[in-house]
Amino acid sequence: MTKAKIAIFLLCFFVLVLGPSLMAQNHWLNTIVWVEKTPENVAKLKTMWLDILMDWQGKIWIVASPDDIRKLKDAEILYSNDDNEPDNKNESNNDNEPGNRLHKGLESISAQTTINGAFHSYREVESEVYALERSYPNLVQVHIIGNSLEMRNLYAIKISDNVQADEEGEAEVLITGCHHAREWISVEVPLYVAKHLAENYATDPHIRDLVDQAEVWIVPLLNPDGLEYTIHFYRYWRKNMRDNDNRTYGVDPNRNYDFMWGNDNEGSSAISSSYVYRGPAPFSEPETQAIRDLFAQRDFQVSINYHNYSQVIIYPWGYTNEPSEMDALLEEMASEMAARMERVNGRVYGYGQAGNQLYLTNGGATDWALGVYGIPAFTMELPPVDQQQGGFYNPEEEIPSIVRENIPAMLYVIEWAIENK
Amino acid sequence: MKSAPPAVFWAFSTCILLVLIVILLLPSSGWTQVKIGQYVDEASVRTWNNIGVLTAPAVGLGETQFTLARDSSVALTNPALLSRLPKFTASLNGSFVRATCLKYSLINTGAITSTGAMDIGIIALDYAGASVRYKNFTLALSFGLLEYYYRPGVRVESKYEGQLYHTLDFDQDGALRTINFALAYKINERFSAGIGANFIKGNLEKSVDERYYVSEVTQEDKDSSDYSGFYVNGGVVYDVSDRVTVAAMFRTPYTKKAVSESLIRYESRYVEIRTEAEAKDNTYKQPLVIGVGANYKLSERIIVASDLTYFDWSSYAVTYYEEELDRDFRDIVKVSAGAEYWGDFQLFGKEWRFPLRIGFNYDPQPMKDPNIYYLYLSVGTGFRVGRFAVDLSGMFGKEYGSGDSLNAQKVVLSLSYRI
Ligand SMILES: [Zn+2]
Repeated sequence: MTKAKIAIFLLCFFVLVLGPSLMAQNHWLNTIVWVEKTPENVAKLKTMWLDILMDWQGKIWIVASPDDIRKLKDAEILYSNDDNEPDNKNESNNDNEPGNRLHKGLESISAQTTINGAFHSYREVESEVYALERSYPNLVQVHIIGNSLEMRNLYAIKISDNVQADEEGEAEVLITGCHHAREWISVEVPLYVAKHLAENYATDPHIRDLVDQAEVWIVPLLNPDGLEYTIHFYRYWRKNMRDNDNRTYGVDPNRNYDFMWGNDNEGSSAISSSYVYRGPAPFSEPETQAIRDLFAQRDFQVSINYHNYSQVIIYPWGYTNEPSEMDALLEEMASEMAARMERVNGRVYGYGQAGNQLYLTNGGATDWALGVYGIPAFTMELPPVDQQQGGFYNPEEEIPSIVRENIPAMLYVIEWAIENK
Repeated sequence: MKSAPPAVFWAFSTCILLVLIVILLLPSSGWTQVKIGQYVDEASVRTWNNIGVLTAPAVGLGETQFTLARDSSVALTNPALLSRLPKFTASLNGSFVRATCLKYSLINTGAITSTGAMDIGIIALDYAGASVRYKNFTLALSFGLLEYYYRPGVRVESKYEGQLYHTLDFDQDGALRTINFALAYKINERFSAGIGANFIKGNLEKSVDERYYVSEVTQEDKDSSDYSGFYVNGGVVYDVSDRVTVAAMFRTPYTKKAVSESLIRYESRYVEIRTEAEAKDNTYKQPLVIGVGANYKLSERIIVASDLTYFDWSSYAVTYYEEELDRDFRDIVKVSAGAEYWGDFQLFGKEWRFPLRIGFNYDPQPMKDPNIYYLYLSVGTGFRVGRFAVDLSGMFGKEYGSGDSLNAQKVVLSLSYRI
């Protein structure tokens, strides 16, 4: 009887704990790529012990781990992972398909030998946003919405038709990235979403439709000082770079907003060395002040803050387990986003109320947007699912696929904002 | 000719480190931010202002050297002085440098807080050289250890219920060396000029290695650079009178080039994630240096001397992996002065001569913020017997301006053989 209980307990334990992570591992580790079936490639591939999926329509499809991707690169075999499904081949030949474009964009960035690889540093974000503005002057406008403690610019990219004008009646959406320094992938997604909107405006009627009716504000890098610190000194740094004057450093920007700020010491900390230190006062930090001021000047209908990791979409409240009045709507929107995202790469994003999903948080940007402005707001915790799958680290090769699956969710949110303006 | 000295590095510093300070003081009103100050990654231990290896005679005089020919190390600063050395000289120099630093890399800048300043201690054979004169020409070959990039290593251990669950190790080490060929020409009894060619080589290795034992996660961040470069130094020395000598020297600005590699690695039970980068053309634009010096012989036995050295640090620039690093530097002038007394006595039937030296040194560092400088006092002595010269000096300094109360010391022993 006891043995049976123990056995059942152990079984449940393994299923619950190991099961998801192992399954997630398969999702996470392996991507399907194809290479052109040329005699040279076939000869090279024969010696590489790869997991060949099929030989189809002049291409060899491979289930590739990051290691395999490296092997392909080393062997100078050109590969593409534009789509998981060969059925989408026709679309994937379309140059306007998001995957193709992003992949190309990524290659040009990977070619740079910057110290953080394909991820963007502050300077790289700066040059990207201005390059985008130069390429699409009627669609993209770069705004400096403030300065960090170390006087780096906080950039916002405004994307809209007649971008120079502040068009009455257009829906407004805010997207932020990198409240937290070590969450490098959270810079990439907003940045590439901006590129995607601008680059596909001319050719994709759906995107044109959305951009014509909305003003999308994207702040890809809210904590540039922290990001630079993770690049040059300590990869695992989270907060901004405030000197707290007691030999401790950093305020957690995502605990510094003025809604339920310091509500308790579980959802944030009053201790300055803590990684969730909320700061001496709400909006004590120039980074959060910039978002506060942007909200005051605009009229956002919805906002999304990118973070990682966990692979979940969470929504207010974070400061309590109690649901918000908007709970049903938030759940509906999150579930729609998750469904659209799963369709892209098959990656499943969980969703739920923040206070129930991860841990309590107070003074966060997402609670603040709902609490003060009454708008739906989401924290998008990007992959991986857990620490064993990489925690705050994402392989460079995964950037395009993570970006790709986030685009439909983003478009949905813009659609929603337009419909509910 | 001596072969290149194996630069023996030693660190004695272990660190008093640890745990986070958990007192919340009242927050200041203004915006304050992390300022590393002196010890950015590529900063040499103790001072930024390195133009050669100063051996014990110069250190005893507060690092005053431009007008005083004591051994072949003058080839690295003012090679004109080579023509005032004996016909043949060979010298070795060993030094012990100790300095404290508070903020560097991830220490006291965010990630890790120490309970106090950290100690750096380095013992090195830092100069070996020889000079030989033929008619009006003097030729010298020198090996010098110009800069040290060593930092106190740090290990942080976290335990939970007696069980180790997390460790973090930080290490940084490296050095910059020069091989110098110098030639001096005696134009007349009073006037000499000299020039030197410097081929530099060096390296810097830095790593942060973090392990979580329970979850079996490893996080590593490694950076390494190999340095190379070339510059020219030169100078003149002129006896204005029997009592007064003046000199001037320069070092050309040059680019310290670096070939660098970086690896960020994450490993868990299921994944290994590597982000690797390589840069073949990182550059550190080193400043022009111009120095002037004078000495005055008060008597047969007493001489006073002083040097002023200008460093064009405002031109300093670092390009690292295609990005300009933020180095907001200003030009500085280093001031040194000293006095030397020569005594003698008879022992074992030989004449022994001995110097007594004292000196002073004002050594401002190039960062604009915080604006800091070191003040040093120095003493030195030694003896000359037959063909041998032995000198021993110490220099003791304190830093002002950062509020961190850093300090630095140097003890130097030189041996020379002269014909
Ligand atoms: Zn985050």
